[in-house]
Amino acid sequence: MNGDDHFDVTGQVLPSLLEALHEVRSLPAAYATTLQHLLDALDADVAWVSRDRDIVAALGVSRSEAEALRQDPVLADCGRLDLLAVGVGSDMTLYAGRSTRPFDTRDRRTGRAVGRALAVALAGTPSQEQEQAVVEPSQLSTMVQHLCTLVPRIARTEQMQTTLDAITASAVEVIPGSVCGLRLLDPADPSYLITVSTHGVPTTDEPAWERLPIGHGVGGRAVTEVRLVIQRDYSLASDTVPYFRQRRLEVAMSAPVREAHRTIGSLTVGSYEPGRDYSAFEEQALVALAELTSLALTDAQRHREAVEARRSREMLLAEVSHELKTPLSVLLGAVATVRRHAARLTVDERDELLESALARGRDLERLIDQLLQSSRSELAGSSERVRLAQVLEQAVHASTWGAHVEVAPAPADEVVIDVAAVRSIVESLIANAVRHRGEEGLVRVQAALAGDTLRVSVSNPGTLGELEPERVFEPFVRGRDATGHGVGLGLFIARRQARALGGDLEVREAYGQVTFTLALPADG
Amino acid sequence: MRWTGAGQAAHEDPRLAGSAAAEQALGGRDADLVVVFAATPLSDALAGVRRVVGPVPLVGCSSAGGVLTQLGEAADVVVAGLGGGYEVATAFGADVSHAPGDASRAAAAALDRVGSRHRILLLLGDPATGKTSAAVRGVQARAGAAVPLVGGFGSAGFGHRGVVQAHAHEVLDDALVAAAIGAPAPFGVGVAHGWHMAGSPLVVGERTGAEIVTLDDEPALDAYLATSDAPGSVLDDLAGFARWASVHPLGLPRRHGEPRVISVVDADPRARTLRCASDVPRDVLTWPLVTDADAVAAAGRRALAAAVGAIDGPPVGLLTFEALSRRQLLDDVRRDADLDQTAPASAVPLAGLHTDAEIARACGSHALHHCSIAVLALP
Repeated sequence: MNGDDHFDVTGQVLPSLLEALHEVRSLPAAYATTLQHLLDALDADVAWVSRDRDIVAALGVSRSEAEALRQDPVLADCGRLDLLAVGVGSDMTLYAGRSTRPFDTRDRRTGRAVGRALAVALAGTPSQEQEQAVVEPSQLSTMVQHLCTLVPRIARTEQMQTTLDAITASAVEVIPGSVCGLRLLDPADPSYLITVSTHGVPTTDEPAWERLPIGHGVGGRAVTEVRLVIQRDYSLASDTVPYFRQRRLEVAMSAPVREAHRTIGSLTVGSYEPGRDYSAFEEQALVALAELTSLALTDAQRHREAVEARRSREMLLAEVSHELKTPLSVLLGAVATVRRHAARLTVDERDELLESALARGRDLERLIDQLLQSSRSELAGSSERVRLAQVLEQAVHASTWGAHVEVAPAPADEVVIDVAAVRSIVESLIANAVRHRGEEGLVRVQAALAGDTLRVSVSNPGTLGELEPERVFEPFVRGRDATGHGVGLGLFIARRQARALGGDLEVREAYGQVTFTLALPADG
Repeated sequence: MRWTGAGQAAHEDPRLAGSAAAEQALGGRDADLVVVFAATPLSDALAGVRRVVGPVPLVGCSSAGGVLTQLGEAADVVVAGLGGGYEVATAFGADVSHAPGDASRAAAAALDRVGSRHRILLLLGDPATGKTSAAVRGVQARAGAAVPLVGGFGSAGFGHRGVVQAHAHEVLDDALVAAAIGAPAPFGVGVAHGWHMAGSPLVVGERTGAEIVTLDDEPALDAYLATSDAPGSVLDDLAGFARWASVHPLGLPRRHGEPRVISVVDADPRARTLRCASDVPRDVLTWPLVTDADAVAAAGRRALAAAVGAIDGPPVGLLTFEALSRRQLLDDVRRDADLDQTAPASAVPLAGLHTDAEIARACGSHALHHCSIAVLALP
């Protein structure tokens, strides 16, 4: 068994970092401790902290060397570094550089968690400008204690509800005098949030606060605004939950919760104490707890994906055996007939049999090529900075269907992506769309960058027919209107590639158009 | 023309063994650096070596676990000589157990006197300080990411005997000795262990530094004995437990590559605690690690291939630092056969030290290893 199947290294680094940060009493020591943990967690070569663009601490290199690496990330005898940058508050950034392999989505998540821990600690560490820490040591101690208990619980993937309940209970401990609720997008209607765990709110009143439209209330706004939202004078504000407004809630704040790269809910605390306001430390504490919730949910998702991937592999094996055997039987039969009955066959009959064998051989070759591509699809390639338009142009020009494809002008943005993998996915989508576009239909391709998410959509006229949308991503499934030689592996491989890159591939049908949308994390 | 030479000797008089090994290694040549590994009293062996080599830079380490010779012969002293144009400076830091930061900075200062384009820092230390992690961290912080590290903490053996280091004419304990070596071509470093995680994980609960008090909310020793399926007699004597624990390590998962080994070195049967070779993080999941002779042998080949593959052309010499636990898992014949197969030329001198902890870092941040083999390929 490999522990990595269900365990994220982020769970290792957080408790020991928080504990170590708890001990430090100066800013340089906090930086040094954080950089050491960042270096260890990512097995990076170098790490540094910059504040207002000045490098204030570095590990593995001097500060001046770090400054040079920021311009040209090449380290003697180690080679070119991939750089990871994580924001800590508004003016501080943590950097790590690694020569052995590029950083991936999970590394970024670990970096973000380390940055969040530093932000929490800085709230309790006297800075050069401050005589005293913002937080009482006992408050920081409570926070660390709770986080340290939660992280291994998350890592052990206990029952999800138990973990979520522990998070809301911890929030109330760390942010005293509060009630807490955790809301997630309603799977049945993603325009609403549903409450999945509460602490301090009477469950008998559940119907009054169970559902909340996104964009409304403090919790709903945290989801759409993807930031910490604070509402003071809660009972006087109009766009708040009536149940809490009527009970004269004084203040509420909410932090977004993510699963992988999507914002899927919010963690909210509120207090009825008159005159209560939340301190900077309590704001950071809530954000840290929301990060932990994200960690728990993403780990749970990974667990589900692992189970699904195993099932999918087993299914694929069965399908592959069948798909390989059929053309092979035809091919062998044709060749055997030619050899056994050569004298009795006419020239036309012999040519027809050999032609059939050749065609089946080519089918087999194509099938094996695609299976090989599929097995490689989860190997990480290397990311590079490119113009968005360039990727689309290359994908379209690599195909022979350029005349049937219209590419909308792409934004001028540059993005950091695995170019080869993205091009391969887009090529597959175009090939699929061309096969299903009908006689005269035009395939449309467009790309956009929204925040740190790259979206590429490929549309063709048509419908999915009786196929459930998810079925099109299963191996060897082909639409009834498909033309050409596809064997039904292209979309299956494309989705695996997208997920290997930390993104996803989805399909929808509307107004006589079928649209595949590739969503990928991309640093702008 | 750079050269290396290796010599080994066994004699009841360690001085004579030291002289014989040094003569064999240098063959009358002037060395840039002499490295001495001894399974006998190092002070006596060093005196013998010194008689032969003269006033050249010298570093060394003893090992109760034994030394590794080029030909797999039994030996008390192994001497490696490097010459023909290596740039060398040596230094040491003392009082590691009380001031690991100061000691490691002092040792790493050897780098300041080597200006070659390619440099490596060879480190030899004492495992009994309890500060192996801090010492290596300190060196990393001082040396920076661009300087590779290699070396080891000589093995105290299962009876926990004292390990001492040699620097120039002195024999030191509680010290970290360093040799900065420079050359016009890059050095190669490889490390591997061959262990993998198995069974159910244990949560590290209460712990202080390298001492684990609870595992899975149980006394750490009891949880460890249960998960490693230890026989009842394993606690009968200290050496017996150490021998058992050396082949039943725990491990922390890493995102890539082999798991990080937590080497259990000692137990307190009264307090029911475990002592590990280096600091253990709190609240982490640890897995029992398992391996077999084939996997351990393959790790040796991987470490050698990585070290040799990192340099331009064939190496002129190899130094190895091999965990004592590997000797329990590999018989001598298999180990020597594996190393011979991987070495690019039979003429490559080979000298090694059995260790309680190995030091190896070319890229990345992990420099301290356990249950591993670390290899230095000299250009």
